[in-house]
Amino acid sequence: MLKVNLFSERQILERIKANDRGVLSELYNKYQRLIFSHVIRNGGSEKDAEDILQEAVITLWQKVTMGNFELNVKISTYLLAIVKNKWLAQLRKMKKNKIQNLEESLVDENPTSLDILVDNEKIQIVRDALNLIAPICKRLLLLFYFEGRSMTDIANILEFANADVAKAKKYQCKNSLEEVLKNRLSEFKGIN
Amino acid sequence: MSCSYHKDSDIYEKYLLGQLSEDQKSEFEKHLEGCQNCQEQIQRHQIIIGSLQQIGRAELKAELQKQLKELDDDKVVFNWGMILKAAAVLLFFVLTPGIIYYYQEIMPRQEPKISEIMSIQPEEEVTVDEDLSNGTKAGGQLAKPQLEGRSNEEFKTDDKISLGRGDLPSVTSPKKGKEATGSFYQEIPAERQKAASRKELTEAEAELDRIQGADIASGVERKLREEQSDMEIFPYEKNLQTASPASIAKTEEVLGETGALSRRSSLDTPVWQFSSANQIITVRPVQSKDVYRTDNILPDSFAVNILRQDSTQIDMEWLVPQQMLELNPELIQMGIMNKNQLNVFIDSQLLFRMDLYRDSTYAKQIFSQPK
Repeated sequence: MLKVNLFSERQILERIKANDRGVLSELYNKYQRLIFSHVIRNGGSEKDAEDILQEAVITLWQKVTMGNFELNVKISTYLLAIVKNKWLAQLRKMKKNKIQNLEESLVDENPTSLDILVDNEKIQIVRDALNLIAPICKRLLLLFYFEGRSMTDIANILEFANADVAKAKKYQCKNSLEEVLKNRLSEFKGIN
Repeated sequence: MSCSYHKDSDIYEKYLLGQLSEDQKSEFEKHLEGCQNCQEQIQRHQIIIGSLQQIGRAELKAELQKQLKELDDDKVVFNWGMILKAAAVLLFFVLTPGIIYYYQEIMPRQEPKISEIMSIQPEEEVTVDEDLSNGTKAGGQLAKPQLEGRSNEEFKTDDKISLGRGDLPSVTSPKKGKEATGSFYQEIPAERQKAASRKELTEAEAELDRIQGADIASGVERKLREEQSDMEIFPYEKNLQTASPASIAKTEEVLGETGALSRRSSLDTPVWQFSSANQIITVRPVQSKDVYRTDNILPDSFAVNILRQDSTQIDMEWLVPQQMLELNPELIQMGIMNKNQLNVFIDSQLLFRMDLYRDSTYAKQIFSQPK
């Protein structure tokens, strides 16, 4: 807890870039009171606040790791902005669900984001496939596709010689994953 | 349609990740409409990238929750530490006074009690008439030969210490270097005596503080009210005629036959009578052969023989020191509680108490209010 009080906001960003995962809980604890207060004041429960803050911390993490991210405001302000948006979206969703339940309307069949494009069954198949390839490959693929890290960052984190090695490794890992998915998903059948 | 993107697998993920310029994106989307292979590639990349993003988010969230849980566990451990510390402090503050109390209060009492010393000693050392003509025994007289040789000053100090108890005056005697005839005193460690004295002194002072400032009579009355609210009071009756002189004479005669008359100074022993609405108490103070201290302070206790007791009158003999014989009986007031306990108030200073259910008993000073 003492650490939380000592590190500056700049250090937080540096630690995220360096893949120091301990920052996650430190961020959560540091801004817990602020975020909880906001969510609860706006009709949310403590459980809602917990969930929203966790999502916000992860979003901040992802934004920082993707590079080209300049924090022009305080982290607290940034997190609060994320939380406000997420909470508003959730309130709309809850309201929508309520109306949908009442009117028994059809579920929206037009997802717009990439996340929604993949159904849970396929996600589970990919998750299983990830556990069948080399652990380093799983880490590399997540660092690249989820965290959006550069090859230089990946090379540093995974202790590869350089970005080119990381890039070559990434193709190798992706091919390994596709190979496993060939037998599990129809979309991957017949690929060379 | 030929596929120019077939060999460039990066184009699919760059498109999905939004990393193409507007021109590149527009050109690729135009191509995508007519390229079945590229559509399939996009579909596969959507599954991989979309799944990895979901999985990555879920795993990072799981890691955050794990960290929070570990911190909570640490907090629980920390809290237990605090609880243990608090318990230790509490235990210390409970145990320490307990130990101190044990060593200062309980342990000294495990030595021969001063009260025991004082009550046993006279029975061992004083020869009391074995039998009186009416079958009573004159035992339990609290003469205190061990008090001989003590100065008045000491007695006064002792009196203060023995408030409400009447059996601790000698505690301070050996400490002062005076002669103490009882061997008990030599066996009681000086520290124990000191502790006992301190305790008694503290109690006495507390008692004094409690009643200080009130006049003496009201102090005694308050004590009476506190302890004996239902007590029947017998004031002194100067000219009471109801007491039968014959009965007194008879008693004297009977006593004379036993030889116990030798204990009396003369036949013209004073007779004090006290009366309530229903009963008369006749007291005949007799000078005792037992050695009492010679100052003006009344004794801590004196022997009593109940000569007669019925529903209308109680006759009794007090074996007292000389100075008590000279008491003005108007200063004395009696009180009976529960029909078997008699209280004697003298000059509103001293409260003696005696049991009436025994023929031979003694009055013991249980309360003293300094005048």
